[in-house]
Amino acid sequence: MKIHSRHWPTAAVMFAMFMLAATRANPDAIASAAAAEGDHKAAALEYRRLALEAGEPARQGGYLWAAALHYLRDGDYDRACLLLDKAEDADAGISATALLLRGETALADGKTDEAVFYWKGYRDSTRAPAARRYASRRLAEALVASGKTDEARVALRGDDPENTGGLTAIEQLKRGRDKNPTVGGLLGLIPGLGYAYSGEYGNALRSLILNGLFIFGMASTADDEQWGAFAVITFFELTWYSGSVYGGADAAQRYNQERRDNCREAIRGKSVFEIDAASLPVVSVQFKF
Amino acid sequence: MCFVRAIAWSAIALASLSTAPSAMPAAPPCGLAVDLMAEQDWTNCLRECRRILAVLPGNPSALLIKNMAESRLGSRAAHPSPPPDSAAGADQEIVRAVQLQLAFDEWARGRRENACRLVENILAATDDLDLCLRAACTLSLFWENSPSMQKSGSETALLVAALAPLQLRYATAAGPRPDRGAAWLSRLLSLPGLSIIALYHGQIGPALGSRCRLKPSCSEYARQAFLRHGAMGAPLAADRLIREPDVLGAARKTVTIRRTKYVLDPLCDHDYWWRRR
Repeated sequence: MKIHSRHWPTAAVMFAMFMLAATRANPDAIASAAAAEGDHKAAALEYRRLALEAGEPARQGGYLWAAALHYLRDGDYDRACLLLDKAEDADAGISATALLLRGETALADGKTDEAVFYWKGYRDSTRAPAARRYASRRLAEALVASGKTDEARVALRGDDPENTGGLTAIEQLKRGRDKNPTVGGLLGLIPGLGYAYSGEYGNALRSLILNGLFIFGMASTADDEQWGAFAVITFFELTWYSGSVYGGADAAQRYNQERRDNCREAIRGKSVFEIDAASLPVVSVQFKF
Repeated sequence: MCFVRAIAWSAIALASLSTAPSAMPAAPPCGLAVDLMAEQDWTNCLRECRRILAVLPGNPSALLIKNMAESRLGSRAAHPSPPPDSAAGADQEIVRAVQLQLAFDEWARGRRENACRLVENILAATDDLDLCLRAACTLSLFWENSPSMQKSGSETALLVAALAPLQLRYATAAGPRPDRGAAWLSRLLSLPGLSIIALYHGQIGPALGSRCRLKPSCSEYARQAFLRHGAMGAPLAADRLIREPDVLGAARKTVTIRRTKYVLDPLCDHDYWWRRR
């Protein structure tokens, strides 16, 4: 198309306006770029800025939800919760997807009872089979983390009966036995035995050798009446000895935690949720298994 | 005809502009900076203030928050706290938000009456719901720590009680929690351990160079343990030293910082079970 010379000013103005419109059409480009680079904190801040600039409550809610997601990915759970509160204040319609993030946040933060509450809420609030399947997996994880294996099995069978790996892992967790941290701590009174109780034989040997050497040092300096050296060695030996007792209890906790973590991993499988960043501030979540 | 066409095209362009989300700040320019200040994220708060001042040089509200952030980050050591009354022209709600931060300082310095009075004044004057809830939450925490400060039956006490159900979300974000009675004996017993770590950090560590592949390093882990748990930090530190080869060997959680792979073993993974109780 040929543009007549007298139309150039009009064409130039229109082109400039279209260019301006095009650049303004993607206001969350910086946030998306930061998220793509893995800088979740920067992405969260950009989404917060966009939320403040957005006039409509629905847009505000969507951006605040995205900010909460990036705080969650950054490991800042308190801020993620705060932003979800604000997102729900701005747009009550976002509550269902807010439950999804609340469940993820509580689970990541180790607040298992809260996580159970949120995942039950999310599962019951949605009819989409993929969302229900995902929620049932996460609910089962939260229940396993809080020691309720029977309920976890029921939750998984309800909406994800084909997850045989998860169901088997729950059975295995139930059949196995936890270590008692109190017994571990008491056994730790004999250096190394507390670690050995939980199967950490390398740590047991190191604890035994260190305590043995320092006790020998104490006895030797006491024999030679070198009380200054005795005091210093006793200070360090007390530290090692207390470490042996504490380590016995902590090793039992680690053992139990590892069993639960393995079970949770089997339940979770490869399930993840992803958001369509291009559709923001409209929150669109996809689940992958 | 051309004129009509140009009008039509301009109308379409304008329509596309109006449907596109606005990139200009419609909200108060300091909104994010105020939020970040309330969350005590000083680095980002300062960055945000600089951004505002680049667009609106001399904006009194942004200057006020910037001063506060700089003082908290230590870059304004000579003036640890900006005097809020000097912020002529600043938004009054922002001045109050800054005053709330100053109240935390007053509390930390032991001037508890001043701190309570400041927060009470904020609570009485503010029209901002967010700040009102934050102030109410702070005041209830102050009163919880020093019940003698509470004037029961007063208007402020009634307001704080009425807002109590709404304060939950700010319980973690209301600023520093009041000290719940320091276990001074435990802290005293942790001093030898902290002194050894300080000696290591100051004299031995720099000579040896950073070679530890654990994050946090054993000395940093011990320092955190002593600071957080007093004398109970000693068994935690000893346990870490015993476990170190196993943790490195298993390398369950890793993080790469400047092309170096580190194994994560934070303190919270080993004290959560008794802290929870």
